[in-house]
Amino acid sequence: MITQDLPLYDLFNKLRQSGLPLGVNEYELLLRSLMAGFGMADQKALARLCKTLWVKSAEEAQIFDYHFAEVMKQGITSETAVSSQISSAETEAKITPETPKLPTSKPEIAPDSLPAKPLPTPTSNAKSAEPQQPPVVEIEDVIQMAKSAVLSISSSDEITDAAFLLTSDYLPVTKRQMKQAWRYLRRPVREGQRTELDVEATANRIAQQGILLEPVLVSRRINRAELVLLIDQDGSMVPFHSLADRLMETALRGGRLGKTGIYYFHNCPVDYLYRDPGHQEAETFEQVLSRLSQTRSSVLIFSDGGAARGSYNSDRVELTEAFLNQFKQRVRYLTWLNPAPKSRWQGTTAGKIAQLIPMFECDRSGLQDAIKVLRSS
Amino acid sequence: MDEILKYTGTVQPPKNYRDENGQPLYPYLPKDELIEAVNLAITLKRPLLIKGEPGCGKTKLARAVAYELDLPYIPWNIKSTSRAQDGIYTYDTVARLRDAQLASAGRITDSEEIKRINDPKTYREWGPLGKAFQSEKRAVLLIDEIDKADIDFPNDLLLELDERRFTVAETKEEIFCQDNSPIIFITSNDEKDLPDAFLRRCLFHYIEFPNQKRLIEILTNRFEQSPDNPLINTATERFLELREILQEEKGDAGKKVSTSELIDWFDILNRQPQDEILAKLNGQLPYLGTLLKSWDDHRIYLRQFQSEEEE
Repeated sequence: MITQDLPLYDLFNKLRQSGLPLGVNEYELLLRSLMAGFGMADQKALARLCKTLWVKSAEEAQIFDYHFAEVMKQGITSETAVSSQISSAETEAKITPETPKLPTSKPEIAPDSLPAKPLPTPTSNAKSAEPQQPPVVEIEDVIQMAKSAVLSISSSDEITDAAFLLTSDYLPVTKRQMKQAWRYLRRPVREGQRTELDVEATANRIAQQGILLEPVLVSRRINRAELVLLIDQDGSMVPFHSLADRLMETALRGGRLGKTGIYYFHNCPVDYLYRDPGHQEAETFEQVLSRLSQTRSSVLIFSDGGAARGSYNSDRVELTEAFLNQFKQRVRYLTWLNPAPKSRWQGTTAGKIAQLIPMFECDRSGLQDAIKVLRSS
Repeated sequence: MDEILKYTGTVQPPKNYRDENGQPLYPYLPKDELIEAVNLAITLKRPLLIKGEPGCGKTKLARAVAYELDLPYIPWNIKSTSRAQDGIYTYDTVARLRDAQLASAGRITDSEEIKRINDPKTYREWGPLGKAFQSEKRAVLLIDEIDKADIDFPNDLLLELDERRFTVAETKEEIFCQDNSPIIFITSNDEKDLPDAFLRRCLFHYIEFPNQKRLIEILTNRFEQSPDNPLINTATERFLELREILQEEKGDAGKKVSTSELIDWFDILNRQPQDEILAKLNGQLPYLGTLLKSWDDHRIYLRQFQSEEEE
């Protein structure tokens, strides 16, 4: 009963399903703001309110606009019919919000626009957490929704602009999971200005000298893990470009890595690596290698190794082996992430390469394992 | 809550106003959407995360809100080395150790002094967040450029922002807010992504770049000009043209000219005889150094300018 009457609950649920990090608290915020009188002026104000509360980036704003328009569109069909009754219901509702008449008017107002959906498990405590307020708010809000929906019929052609929304969340690892995984890649080194007090050393020195002359300071720990991402581009890798982009983006922006280098190649790197996906800015192997540090750099190769097409190519195995050996001489931590599932490696070039280097599937646990190898723990 | 605070964005500081630190304070003209977001943050007691282009007034907002509502303003400027703990309190362990050593060596004999150093509270100093939590009135706390710090920084603040309380481990003091929970503004330049857990606890507003009408408003307020002043009109027009040129060439990624740079530029223009400067504005823009900060940008502009000349 309560879930059915929650204002914009449908929208909230859709946004959650689209991957916005929302919880019961965020929904409660909306209720509180509505009760405080925010977002009541018109549909735009309502959208603005929801955006301020729920949307945290431009990308999410796009998702929001789409779903908001959808929900409002649904509202039009079911609510224009009852809009005539609303004016009378509105006055009643506002004067005595807890009047027992409410249950009778509710089902007419919002049967289709807010279909009863079972609460997903993480939000199941919503019922107990929100006692009797929601129905009260709902009345005012549904009225607002209906009102603004009526107003917006003429302007609903704007919706087509947002009709195509590219979300890429069917990928095996979400952005968030990637960011979480990168955070484990750390190699803390004490470096820079000595600012932290070393309590133990200071105590020791006092014991030696009998009095505190000066405290012992040490540098702070900073993460000096350097990551080199080698990304196979084009050919059989085309379907995985967005996955590669996501890997790269999260490593650059979400991680806390000391330094990140991205290089591209096609099929198997021979002599040159490229700094851009279009293979324009070439750099020789030696140049790249000379910049790596044996103890701090870790190299992650992202390639299907021929598994996507399922072929075996002995030349490619040889070339890959030569290139891996070159890297192995220089860096200690080296691993391979394969976007093709493990069951497809058998009998392909990838299967052979997997014997030379730790290779993992590109899903959450595979990524975590790969990073474990890079950390060498 | 005994009183309901409401920000309107209409109360502006008088001319030549200086705050207690001697910093000049200028009028701040927020858009209605921003005002709404601020009021929402005040009502819901959630931090407001503000993003936007550099120079669009993210940082100045907090000061303006504090001025209008007559609340104490506590800025916390984040550096790359900032730690969340420092914002709450710092404890001068070294001083305490030193004093203890001096006392045990018999060098401190004054009983008042011994009493002072016996008190562990002597050595703790509140950080901006610690001060804001204890302010009698609701304070306006600005956490400026949070993305500059380590990625752990926002995560370390979760509990404090959520429950508005913290404990001082050294003195076992428990500090928590009641009615005085601070109004918190957080700005970010989007250099790094903030963790989801942190974002979830914030309200979010993106400050859009002002259009010409608003730019004129900002300049007239700042320099106390009449809005019909032809110089303001021409200057903002040319400024927006320049912005467009840069945007076309560099896309969304590059640095664009910002409102604060326009203000600097106009400041210089305004000091010149008006007809002279109006004539100059029709040709190659004068004082480009205040607007374009890289040789690349200069070249882009000059190329564009020359090709227009030839036409």
